[in-house]
Amino acid sequence: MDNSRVEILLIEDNPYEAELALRSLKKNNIANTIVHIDDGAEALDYIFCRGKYAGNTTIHSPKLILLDLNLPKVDGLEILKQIKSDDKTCMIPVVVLTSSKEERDIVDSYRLGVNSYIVKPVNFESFSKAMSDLKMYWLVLNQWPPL
Amino acid sequence: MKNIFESKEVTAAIPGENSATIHEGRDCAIKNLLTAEATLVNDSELLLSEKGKKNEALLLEKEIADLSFAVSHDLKAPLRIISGYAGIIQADYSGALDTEGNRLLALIVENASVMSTMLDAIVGLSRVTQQEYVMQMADMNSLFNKISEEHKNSTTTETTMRISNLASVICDVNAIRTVAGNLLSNAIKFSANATQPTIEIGSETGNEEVVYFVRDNGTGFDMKYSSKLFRLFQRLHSKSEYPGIGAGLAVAAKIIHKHGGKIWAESVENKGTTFYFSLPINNQ
Repeated sequence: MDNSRVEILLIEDNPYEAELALRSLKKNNIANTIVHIDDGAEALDYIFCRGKYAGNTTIHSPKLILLDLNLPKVDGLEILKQIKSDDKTCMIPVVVLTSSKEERDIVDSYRLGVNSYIVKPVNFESFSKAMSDLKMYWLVLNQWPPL
Repeated sequence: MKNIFESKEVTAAIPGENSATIHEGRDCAIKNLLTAEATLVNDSELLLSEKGKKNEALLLEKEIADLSFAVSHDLKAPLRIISGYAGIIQADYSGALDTEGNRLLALIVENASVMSTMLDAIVGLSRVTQQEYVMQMADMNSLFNKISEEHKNSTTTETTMRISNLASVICDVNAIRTVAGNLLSNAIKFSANATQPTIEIGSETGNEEVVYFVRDNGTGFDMKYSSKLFRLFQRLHSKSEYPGIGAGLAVAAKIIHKHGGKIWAESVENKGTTFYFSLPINNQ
């Protein structure tokens, strides 16, 4: 995979949730390369070029990581912790996308350095708008440091 | 999708512990709940001992916390998916359906949204149970005045509000603000059709407690259904008449009971309703 082209990494284990998110993200005309990984351990391998991604010589640096919290094997908070505690990846914006309004999750996420925390709306129109808003914000409006 | 009956070691997650434990505990929350129930029934010795009862109560409280966590995390996902796919059909394929088809589709979306609100209410109610209260002297005048201002700004109904001088009391201000807000929004909603909607708020100080009331001149209800009033998702009016899911009073009652107070209502159909709640004066 050509590292330079990946703009969004979506880490989400539920295939239907992922389909809805991908559909909304691809909906407007900005062409993006989106990689979807459905497993926490694999997501870490992908970001840090380990396991089956060991062949990659550079760290994958998507412009934005969309992270579900409830994931098999390695959960979202652990992924967040590892991304934010490594000098090579700590500047990648990470947005938590979750069902949970639990205060514990919100506090834990910010404590670990999350850049934004979004509770996915149940209504699809609102969800779709949230997705395109956050894509617009993080990929167009927001200035991010060169990686 | 994750199976909430997944068999893992039975873990009793304690709220406030790290999230990994919470996730584990939540995963088998339903299983634990069933186990707890079975224990209660089978182990009569445990039932007899006070300590056992206390432990069971604590365990059950934890289970409810876990269950509410499962509700907020896991049940929302399939609901969002139902709503999502129906939404895609609405957005991209509505032309392929006739009017009736589109109407039915809209009903799916609408009801998914109702269920989402209900799930939020369950979580909200269990949050009331878990929350630790900060007891302090509350200026009930400023509390009710602020809330009535907020409500005035968010409604089109011209409602006359009369707030008498209210006694201060020791309580958790945030929680009582929720109670006041719920009672006031009910009063506004159910008096909106009156010729001149009027709401009166007052208080009366007794020896051991202060009783507050919120009185409207609205549609009222038949007192023979009053026992349903404070139960979750119970409603005394049809949804088409007065929208809502029936959670506000359940939350209010839980908060007042947690303060050691009482909540009740008196109503005459087509004349109006008065809600009362009492708060103990020596509440630490």
